[in-house]
Amino acid sequence: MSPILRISDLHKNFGSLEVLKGISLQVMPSEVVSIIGASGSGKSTFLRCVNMMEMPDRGTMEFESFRFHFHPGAAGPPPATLSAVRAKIGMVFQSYNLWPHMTVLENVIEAPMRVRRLSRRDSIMEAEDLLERIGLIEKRNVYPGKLSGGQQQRVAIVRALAMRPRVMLFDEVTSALDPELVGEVLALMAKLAADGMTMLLVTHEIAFARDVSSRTIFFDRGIIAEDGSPDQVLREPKSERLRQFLKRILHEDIGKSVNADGHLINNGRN
Amino acid sequence: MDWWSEVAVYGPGFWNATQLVLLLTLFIILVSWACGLAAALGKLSKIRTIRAISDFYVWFIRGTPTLIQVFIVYFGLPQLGLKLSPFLAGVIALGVNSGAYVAEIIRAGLSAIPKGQTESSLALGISRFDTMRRIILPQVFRIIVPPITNEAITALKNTSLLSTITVVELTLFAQTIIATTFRPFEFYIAVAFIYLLLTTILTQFSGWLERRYAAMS
Repeated sequence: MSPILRISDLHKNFGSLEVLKGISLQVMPSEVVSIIGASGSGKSTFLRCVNMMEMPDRGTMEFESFRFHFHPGAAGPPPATLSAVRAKIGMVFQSYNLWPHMTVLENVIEAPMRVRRLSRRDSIMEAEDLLERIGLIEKRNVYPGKLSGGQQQRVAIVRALAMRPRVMLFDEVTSALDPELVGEVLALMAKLAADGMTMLLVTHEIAFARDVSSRTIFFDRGIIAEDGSPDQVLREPKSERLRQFLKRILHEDIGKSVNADGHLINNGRN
Repeated sequence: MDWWSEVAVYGPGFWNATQLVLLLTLFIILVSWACGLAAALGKLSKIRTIRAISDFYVWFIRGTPTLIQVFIVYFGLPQLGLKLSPFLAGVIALGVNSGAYVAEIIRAGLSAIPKGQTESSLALGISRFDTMRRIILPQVFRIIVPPITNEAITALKNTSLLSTITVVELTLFAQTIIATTFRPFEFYIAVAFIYLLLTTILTQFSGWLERRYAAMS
């Protein structure tokens, strides 16, 4: 099996600030990669480089039959190529970004109609099928403003899935949610992972990274500092900085299940 | 004789003049939206020349009297070989004038839409053009209903300026009657009430549109 995504030596600057300092990563089909790291470590920027919402300054990326070589100041791929790549790489944002002037169903069918050029009928059939599966079919004619944050985020996920993406990117998708609404979104993502979707997710949900992802990456100051199975990375951090990071983040989240060294305590699992 | 009933005698004439005002306003609004949208998008263009043209347009129009702009189009352009009918000159002058204000309204509306709205659309592979047309502009339109109505009301009232270039709209019509009846008070009051009626209808329509949009979100 060959990687679905092959990224090497990716660099990104914002002005004089070098945010990504040479990221190399290969992602296999059905792999679920969780990316953790302090804010400003470049993890969100990296995710946005993968679907070229930010244009990398240097490096290469291969995705399916697409190959990109990035150069500083270059114009980037033509709009049609960008569109074709983005159509196959779904992205879900922290702030949902549903379109408030369209109903749930209209939000979901817009891209299939415009980009996949499906008929309205077929788009609706697919959309209703997806909404049915996440239990929001009865909300199809409701405007996003009438939904809870958790429901909105699930619709945003469905909107991305309606493009039948090969890879899904999740950028801190539960960070804006009230704590009691996080569960329903994570459950949907876990289901996607179980169904074999290739996923890259930037997250602060350490428990989710541990339980659902097949691989965990620690971003630190623009480089990949640690990369391994969730157990390795989260239970046996090699670097002091990761230990400190886990200590900080776990102390806030689930204070009790972490010991003094910042190691995750086994909650009766394994 | 009761002069107020004299006003009523001119009813059909008032009606014709009112129809002309409505027709002028309709065309002026259409021209102003086209100019306004073009200039608002032009200000966001990556091409410097287009940005400069848009900036100059808004700067010039907002910084000079509307009446002078009407005179430039009607009296000035013929000198350059472009002779327009009073009606057409009026529509162009006032439409282009109103467009500069519409441009500012649309620009403010565009900047009020969160960046995430564009991003989520582009991230799905939707083109920039469709993103603007389907995702951004419909949202902009909703929030600019009140200021754009104000601008339409201004445009309607500005049609009275066209009395100076021989368009027989309400104001010039009243002036011609006053020239023979010598009753400026009654006829100008009558004209004022007709303008008031028209602007009130516009305001009501705007309120209805706002309520309708509020229900759809």
